[in-house]
Amino acid sequence: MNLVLGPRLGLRLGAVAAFAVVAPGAALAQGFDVAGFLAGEARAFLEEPASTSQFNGVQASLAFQPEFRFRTSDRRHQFRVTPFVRVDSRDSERTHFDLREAFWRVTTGDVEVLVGMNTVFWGVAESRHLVDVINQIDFVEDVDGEDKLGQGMIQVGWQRDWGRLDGFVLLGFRQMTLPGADGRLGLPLKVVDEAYYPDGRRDVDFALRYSHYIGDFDLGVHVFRGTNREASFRVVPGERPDRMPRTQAVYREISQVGVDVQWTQNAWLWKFEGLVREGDGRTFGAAVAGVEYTLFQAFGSADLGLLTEFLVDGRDDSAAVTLFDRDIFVGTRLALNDVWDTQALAGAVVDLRDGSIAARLEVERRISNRLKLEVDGRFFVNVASTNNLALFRQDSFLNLRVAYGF
Amino acid sequence: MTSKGKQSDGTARALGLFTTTRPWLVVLLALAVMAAAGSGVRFLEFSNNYRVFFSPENPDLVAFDEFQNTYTKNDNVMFVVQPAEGDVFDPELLEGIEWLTAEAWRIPFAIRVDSITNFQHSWADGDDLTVEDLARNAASRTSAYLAERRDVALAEPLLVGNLIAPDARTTGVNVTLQYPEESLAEVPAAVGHARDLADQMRQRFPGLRVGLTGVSMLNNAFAEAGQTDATTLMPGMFLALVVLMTVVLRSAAGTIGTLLVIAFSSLTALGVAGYLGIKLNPINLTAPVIIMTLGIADSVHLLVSALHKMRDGADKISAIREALRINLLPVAITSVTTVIGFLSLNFSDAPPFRELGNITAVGITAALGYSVVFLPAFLSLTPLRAPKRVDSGARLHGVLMRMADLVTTRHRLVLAVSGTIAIVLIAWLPAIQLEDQFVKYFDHRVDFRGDAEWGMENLTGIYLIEFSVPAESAEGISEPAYLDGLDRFASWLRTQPEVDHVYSYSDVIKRLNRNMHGDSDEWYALPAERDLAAQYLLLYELSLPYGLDLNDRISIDKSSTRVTATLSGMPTSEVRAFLDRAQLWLGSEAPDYMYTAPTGAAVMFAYISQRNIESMLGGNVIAIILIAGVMMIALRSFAIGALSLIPNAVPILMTFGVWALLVREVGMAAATVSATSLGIVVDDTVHFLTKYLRARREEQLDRPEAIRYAFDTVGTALVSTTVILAFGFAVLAFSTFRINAQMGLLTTIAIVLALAVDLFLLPALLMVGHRSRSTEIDSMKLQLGKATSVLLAGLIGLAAFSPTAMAQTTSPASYLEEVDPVKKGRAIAARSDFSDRGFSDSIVALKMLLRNAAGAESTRELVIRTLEVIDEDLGDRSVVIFDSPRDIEGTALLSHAKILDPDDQWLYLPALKRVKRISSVNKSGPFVGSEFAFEDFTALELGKYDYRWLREEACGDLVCDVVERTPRYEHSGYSRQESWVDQRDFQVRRVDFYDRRGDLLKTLELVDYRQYDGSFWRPQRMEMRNHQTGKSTDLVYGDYEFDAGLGDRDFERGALERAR
Repeated sequence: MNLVLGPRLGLRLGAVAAFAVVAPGAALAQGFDVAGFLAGEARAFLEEPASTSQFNGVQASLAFQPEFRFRTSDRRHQFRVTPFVRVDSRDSERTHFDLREAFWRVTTGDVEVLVGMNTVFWGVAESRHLVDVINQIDFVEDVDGEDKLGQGMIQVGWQRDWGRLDGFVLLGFRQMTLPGADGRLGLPLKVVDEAYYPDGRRDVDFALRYSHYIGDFDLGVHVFRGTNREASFRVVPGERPDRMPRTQAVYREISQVGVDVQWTQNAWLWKFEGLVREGDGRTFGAAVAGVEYTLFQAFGSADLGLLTEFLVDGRDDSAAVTLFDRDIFVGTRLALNDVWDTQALAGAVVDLRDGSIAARLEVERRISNRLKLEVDGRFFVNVASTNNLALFRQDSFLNLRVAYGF
Repeated sequence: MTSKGKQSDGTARALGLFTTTRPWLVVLLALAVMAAAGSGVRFLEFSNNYRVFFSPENPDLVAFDEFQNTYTKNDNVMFVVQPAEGDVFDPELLEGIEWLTAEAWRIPFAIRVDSITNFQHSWADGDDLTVEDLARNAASRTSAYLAERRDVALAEPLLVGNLIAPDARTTGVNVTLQYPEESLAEVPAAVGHARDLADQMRQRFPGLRVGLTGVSMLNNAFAEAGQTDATTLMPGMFLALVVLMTVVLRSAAGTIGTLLVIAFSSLTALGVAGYLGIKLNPINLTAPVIIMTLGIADSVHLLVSALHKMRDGADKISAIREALRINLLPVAITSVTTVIGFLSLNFSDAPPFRELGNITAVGITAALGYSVVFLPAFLSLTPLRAPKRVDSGARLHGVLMRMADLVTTRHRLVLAVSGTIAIVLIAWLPAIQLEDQFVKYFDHRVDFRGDAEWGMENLTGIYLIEFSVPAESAEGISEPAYLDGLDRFASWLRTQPEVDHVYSYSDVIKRLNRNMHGDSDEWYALPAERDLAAQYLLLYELSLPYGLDLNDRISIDKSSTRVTATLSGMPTSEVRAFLDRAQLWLGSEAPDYMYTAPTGAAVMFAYISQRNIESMLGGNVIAIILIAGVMMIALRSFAIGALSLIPNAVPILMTFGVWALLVREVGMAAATVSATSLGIVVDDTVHFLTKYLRARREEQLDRPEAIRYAFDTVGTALVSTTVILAFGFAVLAFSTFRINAQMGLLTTIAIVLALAVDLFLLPALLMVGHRSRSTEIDSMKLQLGKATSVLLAGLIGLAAFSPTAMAQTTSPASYLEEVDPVKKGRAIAARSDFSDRGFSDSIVALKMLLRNAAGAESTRELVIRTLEVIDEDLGDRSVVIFDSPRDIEGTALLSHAKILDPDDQWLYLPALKRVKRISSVNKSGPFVGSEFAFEDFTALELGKYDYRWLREEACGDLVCDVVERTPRYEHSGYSRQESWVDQRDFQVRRVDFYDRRGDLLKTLELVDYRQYDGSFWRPQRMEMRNHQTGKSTDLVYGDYEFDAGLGDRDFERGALERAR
């Protein structure tokens, strides 16, 4: 891919750099543009680690994500490169680099073609991104599944009055990132670098998505065939008989269909995501259904959102690991709508079988036009030893983040 | 697979046990359900109005309603009269026309009668204007009088080609009717009376031909066609089914049981329709025929299995139970897919198709219930005997097995041949032409068709194209410029080959001008002065008798007149071309304010197929995907489910190809056939693939063996159900209503092609990549790829159909001299709004300066892109993209504004790359912490407020009108606003916002106006001051870029990701 694209892109960028000098700040119309952030983080774990190999105390890190954009003046061609890098003080696996985006997109009338690395989001729910299947999760970034690794792809989008069809050819399978044996929020055993592919390793996956809105309904339907983004794990012997056994990620070939629907009815958002997946254990279905209600101007100009979602998942034990088999999520979001965009979010996912709770509290506020402060806490409470969450039961933490945007 | 299979087996076993051990109870229960549901039949009535074919939201109908509100809302009956020989200016016949004209007033709901005898002939008598009937007491007149009146009539543009043929052989009496629309008996009452009068005329003048046409006759024909179909088609259908069943089943009990099942199902569906208040029309009345056809399949599958078992020696009860066990799952799946197909008709724009879908869905569900519950119970009570094996079945079986050998051994050849045929046929699809001449909806058995075509040939067309041509202001129709435009428009229309007749007010005024100048022909021209034209009109109106006034031609405030062009029968595509030409002429040749869009029933039907196809496309896509989903779950295989898309979609596409080759023209049935036949063609696929997979999984057979197994077990059943279904739908071809006939034929073709595809293409596809067992997965993938590409190809084909909607605009009515403050307020707002029209799209970058009470500042930078939406019922589309603060850089807000409904809004979050539909209730909350609410940016559409003019006052160097505006939309944060609009450039200079308590909340000042491209004014600075908190926000705009080449596609949710 890069071999083909590289020289042309370089040429274009060179031409553009000159242009940027002439017209600085023509950010959105055309031309070359850079944005991004640099963030410092300190993460304090509240409990002793579960395993002696894991570190204790505070973990500091620095993240940097510049975004280079270029667009031709007729807006038909668009190039974007967004590298991401994190340097971590304690966990070598968390020090990593990724290309979140590196693509060329051509738009002609109803048709849009994208070639390169990109990140794609599908879905409507808040607690779990069930149908969001294109990208692999960058798990070392956060456990919520919202940070994702760039995925190589050829995407063809076709927008008509009756909706949008997107066809994806996904190139190059990427494994989930995992913390090292010394890192927190990780697996108790050392992870083997090479994953195991029982159906053979395949680097070309396919997906097709139809999305549309009809009145108050937003609808998406997708089909995916390829390597599962979710992993199961198996224990393998240590490098030498006297060493500790290790764990190895297992990725299977799956086929799935899924839908996501949102009904926006005044201040109520009704959401549903569901899928049927074949190839990972017994064929199963999973769904998230919930509602979000917002009390606008509940206190002065502040809006209060109330959310609840039900999560079910019918997979068997041989399938990829999930934290959500039968859970309920309740949450609330407070937005002050002030000059500093102060927001707070609190929520908890409760397992309806054993009462295990994963809770989250997040407060963010801008402190200047370029600086933003975030405090984020994750708490694992009342975790049953049989729950998959038990891996993190001692990993409740508070995270302080200061980001500088440029 | 197995667990699910066992589960449904359990259900089936329990059902078999229950229905056969308590048969009487079950039969009674079924009868009770049928009686309860079926008793709704008593609420059914026949609708008789062509308007049922249009949904209330249909823009063409909305436009026509508006038109009728301006003039009069009415229908007509036209008597077309032609003597056996000679022309109509025969003293006796003319007297007869006089009689008919007088008698026609007695037709119920008649409000006006026009004929050549009561035509208001005006002529000069010295300085006086005399207005009298063109012919009175004709029988006692001299031949000189008649000859003179004949000349007048044949020179009068309002009459020739409308009420009198140019050769004077044929004349018409047009009765205008206004129905109270309270009961469905109104139209038949009027039509009955009119037919009575026609008979009396025929008796009085032997050899006289009298035809009845007009909109009321059309409406009546809809009801009569439905009734004819109900009394001929359904019995015919029932008879055909009895014969077929007897041949196929050779069992009296089986035949009777099946007939009871389909009768019960139809009755249940019709009863439910009655409870729902659905009015019958020719289209939804085909539901019983469809239900009977489809309901039979369920019963046949059960019966064939049961009889098969009995032949093999099983006793009756256990044969019934076993038949239920084997068939419950496939029968349930096929019913579900069929119901999905029919329910997707709800996407149609035409309500009769939605009703057809819903009634049929209920009927199919009922047929499933009756087949698996009532039928087994009924059979266990009756003496069911297995017939002897018949030879014809064996012969068919032999043929099928040879076919199985062919497709398994020569699969590449079969694939190449059948694939080529399919592709060639599908390639013909674009040749289809949409055709909706409503007269041709009826076949010659319906009187209306003959009368209407004869009337068009001899007198005048029935397709009326109406234009409500606006003047610049009230009383403006007397302006010379307006009359000149009108006259040129009428002349232009008359030069068009399609046009039979043009009725234009300009002809009336020309005639009056001539009358006022001693009937001198050189004065047959438009009056040169406004006052003169107005006076003529006044004089003329004063002398008109009751019922012949001009209210149906001129709007009450004299701000617009109606131009009617009458067209003869011609292809709908030419009607559309004519409409386009007329609009182009108005847009380019007439003064701007005269621009208008054509309307009328003919216009509505000209676009009905396109609208229905557009609205059905989404429905088809969803149905296809849902059915594929059902197949995947039911067959428990992703690849096979995806592969099934080919045999499901290809036959339907091929059907249109066949039609394009053989017939070419198709009416609105085209839009819906894909939905109705989809659910049916799927059934063959389900049966074939279920058996194939059973052989692969349970019997561990390889592919050729499994295909042979499928041919062996379901081949005969597929062929016989196809025959039954094809017969059933072919019956519809005999409908008097052409749409139904087309639907019947198209569906028949689709079903037959589906069988061919299932017997050739599908097995050949299943064979693709067959080498040995180890390479199964690869070929599965290959098949998936093929399935996807065929699906895409199909969608591309369908999309090629989708037409581009015609843009419509209306020009502003100007009431600026109004004293009524409400009208004046609205007029000022409208003028301001219109001064802004036509910018097409714009891009502007702006800076937002937020200041708190203490003076501390913070800034935001954003870009707003706007797409102008011309339709006054919709608002503009916009995208707001943030550039700073940097943490929200790239956040974008897409908004599709509506007038009174909540806007559609989507928020794009760049960090997650997520698009989220958000609630637009929050119009009045602070927008990104500023003093602007979102509604302050977006609620700029004219229709969002009620207006009231308050006063005139100085604003800066200018004079402003102060207009109060009260939000009409929900969830506004304001009780009212006062806006200052200057009288020079018509721009808003200041707005005061009052909160819900009625206190002054904010003041917005719009300054530094700049004119772009010589036309669009934009403020370069807006300052919002909050009086209650002391905070303020300024917006400082950069240069606007207009006509930046943005299009619809830049304002779709899918485009947000590339907005930056």
